[in-house]
Amino acid sequence: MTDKLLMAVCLGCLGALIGYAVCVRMKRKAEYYDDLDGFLRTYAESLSFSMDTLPEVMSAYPARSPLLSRQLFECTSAIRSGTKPAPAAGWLNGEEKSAVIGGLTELGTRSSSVEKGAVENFRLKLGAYGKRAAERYAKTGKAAVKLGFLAGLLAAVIFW
Amino acid sequence: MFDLHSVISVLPAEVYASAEENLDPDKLWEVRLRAGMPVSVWYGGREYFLTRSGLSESSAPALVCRAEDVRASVLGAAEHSVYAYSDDINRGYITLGGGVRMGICGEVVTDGGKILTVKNYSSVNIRIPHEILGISQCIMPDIVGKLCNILVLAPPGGGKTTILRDLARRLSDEGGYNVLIADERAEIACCRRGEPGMDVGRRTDIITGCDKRHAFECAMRSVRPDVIITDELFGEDDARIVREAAGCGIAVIASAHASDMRSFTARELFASLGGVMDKYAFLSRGAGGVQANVRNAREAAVNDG
Repeated sequence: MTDKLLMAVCLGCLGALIGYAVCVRMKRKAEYYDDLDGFLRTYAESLSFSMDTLPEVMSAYPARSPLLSRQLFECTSAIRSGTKPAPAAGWLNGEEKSAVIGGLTELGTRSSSVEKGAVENFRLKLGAYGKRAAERYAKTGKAAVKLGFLAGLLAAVIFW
Repeated sequence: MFDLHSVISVLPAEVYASAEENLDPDKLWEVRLRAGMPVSVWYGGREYFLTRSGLSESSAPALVCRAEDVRASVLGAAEHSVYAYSDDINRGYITLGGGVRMGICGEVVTDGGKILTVKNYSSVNIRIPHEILGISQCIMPDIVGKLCNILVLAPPGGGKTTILRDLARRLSDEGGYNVLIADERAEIACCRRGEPGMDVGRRTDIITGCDKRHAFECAMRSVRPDVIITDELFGEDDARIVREAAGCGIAVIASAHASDMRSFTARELFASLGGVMDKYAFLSRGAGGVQANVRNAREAAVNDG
């Protein structure tokens, strides 16, 4: 009896932890898109005013998201060493990966007027992903912990 | 001494690897990348094709450059920021660190005669300058002690820019003069982001990328140089500016294309200068390197014109 109670508690906690991990991932995804949009806005301003080079803009941007920070660092390092930028996709899914990585690697390859238009299009496209991520986090992110705990208890009952 | 690593971002990986392994950077003057064509280099005074294992006079074993390689080369030179280098690309060249210059060929897009952009890059020529310190010794004895207006004359590739560069350094460091370089195409000082890629002296100011009129006006109004050095005088406008500077008491040392005095006097530039130049220095290449025949301007015009 005690063993089964212990198993129920452990499964419940495990479920809560998994739920917490899902919640964190949702939150990070929403933050990532918000941060990436911030970077693109900064870049667009640079195109209009200071005309800093892409590596300068990337290395000066204070990214909050760990994934964006890593991507900007990898892009900057690749450009400075003369190789083609190939930033990490992290936990982005297939469709997002194609859009984000493709957009990031094409930055800086166009003349000023064309680049401004391309950056705006890129922001619009990512805006849809960002909105979806934010809505998902708002609806199910915070409830994920409780749902995970309940799922753990359910698993414990099934195995009881 | 030229560091090959400084051009790693503009050379395809295979080309860089072969050059690093097989070539002496101090003998490398040009690398030409043409889409769909063998890679060629100007090395040790001759042209060769570059292979994986070194140089070849035949194009058969040479590394072949793709169109993507040419594009990547331009992107690398522009630090992946084409928008920031639009003016340079539209002018047909990008100046890299250390004075390296990349000439760009491609499809020019215009609107009403104005160049908007260059696309579909077809070839690049990466030119590597090598400082030849002391090359101006052939001219220095004629100007030591008293600055005067000198026009350096030679055919294209005759060493004019190299001599102007060394003259700037020596007048600045040894002569103690304030020197201004009006570097319209960034060929003399090879500035990149405000830093000269070549040693042009401690007392030298450089105005890069603008026309000679603006540079000369800055000089006359605020920079107060003792001598202005500029490259490639061409027509009436350039000559007028030189006359104005000379009239303000600023010595002008410039260069122009000419193979000899007779061909120079036939040019519009000669008449436009109106005798403002004190000396002409004709350059020629001999066994001992570049030689200069420095002559009093009036005598040369009368005797050889």
